[in-house]
Amino acid sequence: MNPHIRSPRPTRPAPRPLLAFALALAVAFTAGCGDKSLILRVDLLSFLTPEEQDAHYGPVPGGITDSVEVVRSRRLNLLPGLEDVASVSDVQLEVGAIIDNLTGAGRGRIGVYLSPGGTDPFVADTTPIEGTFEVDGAMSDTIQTVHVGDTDLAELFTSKEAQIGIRVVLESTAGGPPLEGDIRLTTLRAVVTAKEAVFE
Amino acid sequence: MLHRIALAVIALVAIAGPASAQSFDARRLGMGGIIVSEVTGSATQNVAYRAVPKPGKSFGGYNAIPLPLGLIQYFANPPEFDPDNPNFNVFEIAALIGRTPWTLQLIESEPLSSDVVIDIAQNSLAVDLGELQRLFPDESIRYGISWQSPNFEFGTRNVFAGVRPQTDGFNSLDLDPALQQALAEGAPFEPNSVYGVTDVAQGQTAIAFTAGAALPLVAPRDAPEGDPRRGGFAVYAGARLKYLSGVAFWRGDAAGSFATGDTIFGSTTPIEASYSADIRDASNPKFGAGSGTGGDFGVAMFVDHFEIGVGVTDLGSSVKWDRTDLRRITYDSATDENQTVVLERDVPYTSRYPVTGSLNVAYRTGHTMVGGTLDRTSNERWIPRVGFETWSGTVPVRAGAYVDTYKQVQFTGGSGFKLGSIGLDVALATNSRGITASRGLELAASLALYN
Repeated sequence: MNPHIRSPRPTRPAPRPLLAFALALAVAFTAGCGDKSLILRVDLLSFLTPEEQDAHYGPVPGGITDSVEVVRSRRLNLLPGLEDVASVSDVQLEVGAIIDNLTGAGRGRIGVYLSPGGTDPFVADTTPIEGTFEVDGAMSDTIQTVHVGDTDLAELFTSKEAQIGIRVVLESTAGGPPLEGDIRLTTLRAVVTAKEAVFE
Repeated sequence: MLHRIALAVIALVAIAGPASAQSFDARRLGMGGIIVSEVTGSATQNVAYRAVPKPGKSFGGYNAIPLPLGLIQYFANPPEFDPDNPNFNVFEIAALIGRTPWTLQLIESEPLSSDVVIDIAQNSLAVDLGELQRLFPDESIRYGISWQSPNFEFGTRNVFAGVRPQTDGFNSLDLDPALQQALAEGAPFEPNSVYGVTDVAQGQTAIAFTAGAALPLVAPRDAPEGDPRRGGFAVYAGARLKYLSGVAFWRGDAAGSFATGDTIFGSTTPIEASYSADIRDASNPKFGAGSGTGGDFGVAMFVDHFEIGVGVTDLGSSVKWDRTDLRRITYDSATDENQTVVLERDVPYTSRYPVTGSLNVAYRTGHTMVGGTLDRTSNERWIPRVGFETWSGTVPVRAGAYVDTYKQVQFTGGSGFKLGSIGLDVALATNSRGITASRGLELAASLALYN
């Protein structure tokens, strides 16, 4: 285990009555409104602690591959009852991060793993959403990726909870100084588009 | 599932409102629903009109028999009532309740249609209802019906007695300013804030035994053939007193709220919700469960082709119920418990009927009449109306407009023909009933039996 990985804080499930109220309201008023949608824009980043939004990587010696878990298997409380009342037609996941590399050169990829509640996302999700970057010496890089059209994600976001994990994999260039720096999540947002189904 | 559907229908009907602004008489509807002395039902809204002489040939007095065109449409294409059927649509059920059986929907109004966007973050929640925001105006959301027919009334123009049912129902929903702004303007829900809603609903029915008199205070002077509509001066007044035998009564006063914590979606400060409703109802609904009195009053004046009328119905109408029960139903999320406590049992209670009325003005010249009416409805709204009618031989042309309870102008028009003592009137009228901002178009028709 990499000694520089910061341990995430215990998970904090979000209480749901107000979400349920908002959902009920939205479903009531999208019902029968023709070809219109219920759009949930969830700022997942805001539910992470500051410690979960930043991670330090390295030093990774040249020629070595290592990984950092930015978010370690955190539970996400989604909207209860959504699967009963709405059929999710699309899920879009936006991921953004800033890399502040201090030393070394290499490539990296940030992976967002999502899986059903109660499972280990790093095991259950074999096709994580990934964004890549390359660094060389002291520099900053920005990752911004938008993932759309994933049917597995659509199914996941109609359930009442899910697990999320975020991991950065680093490949340090052989022969160079150790790869070391910081990564900060800037965007983690899900946009769920649903059609009402309660009165169909 | 069924009760969720029932709740949805009730909610939608409460928001959409009924067809209360409509007249069943096609002639009157074609004139924007205005009241003038010669239209059917004028004496119901202004009892003084009972004493006004029947109009001459220039302004046909008549009895209207509305044709139930809406029933034809219903039976030709009935909605699906089985919630398990894929064709079931709760909006169609709500729309059905909002319609009248007397009108044929030619063009359905477009339901409000809008994406609903919910933005969620740990300390933020915003709901953008788009066009649906207009459903939450910055005032009470009121719904009311008043039903007083069939009205069996016998007697002369000046003295009469009768019997009729007297039923009214209303619902008044108020959001507090913070909740109203959150729903109507998409304002974010704030931490450490309380959002509340209050609702008052009441329904009651009684049998009204009536007796009254309508007399000329000033008999027609200088009126051609004694018809004050054609000129001259006359003043009439009337009163209809009622003895009300109460049958059934129900009233609910409810208040609900929820409070956000330091963090809207934080784990240590959960949303606290509470609800309290006081429900009072007649212990034993039956004929004679309560008794009361009330009255309708009216004045009409004719001055040189002008007609002015003021009618007030149910002034002071109330029923004292002999025995009512009062229960308080509460819910508190802190304990997650529903509780029902009986506060009173078999105690007398006095309920009131809403005062409704109308102020109307008309001017006649030749075969043409223009008029206006300001209606006070049972849900405490003012409805202004204007209308016009002119006759060319046996064919009338009518037009009118009124402002509905959503403050949207609606337009009407109509025509027909008269053959001897029988006529047929048709009217086209726009409406915005239901959850809509657009106008639909409906057709009404009625037979006219001229005096």
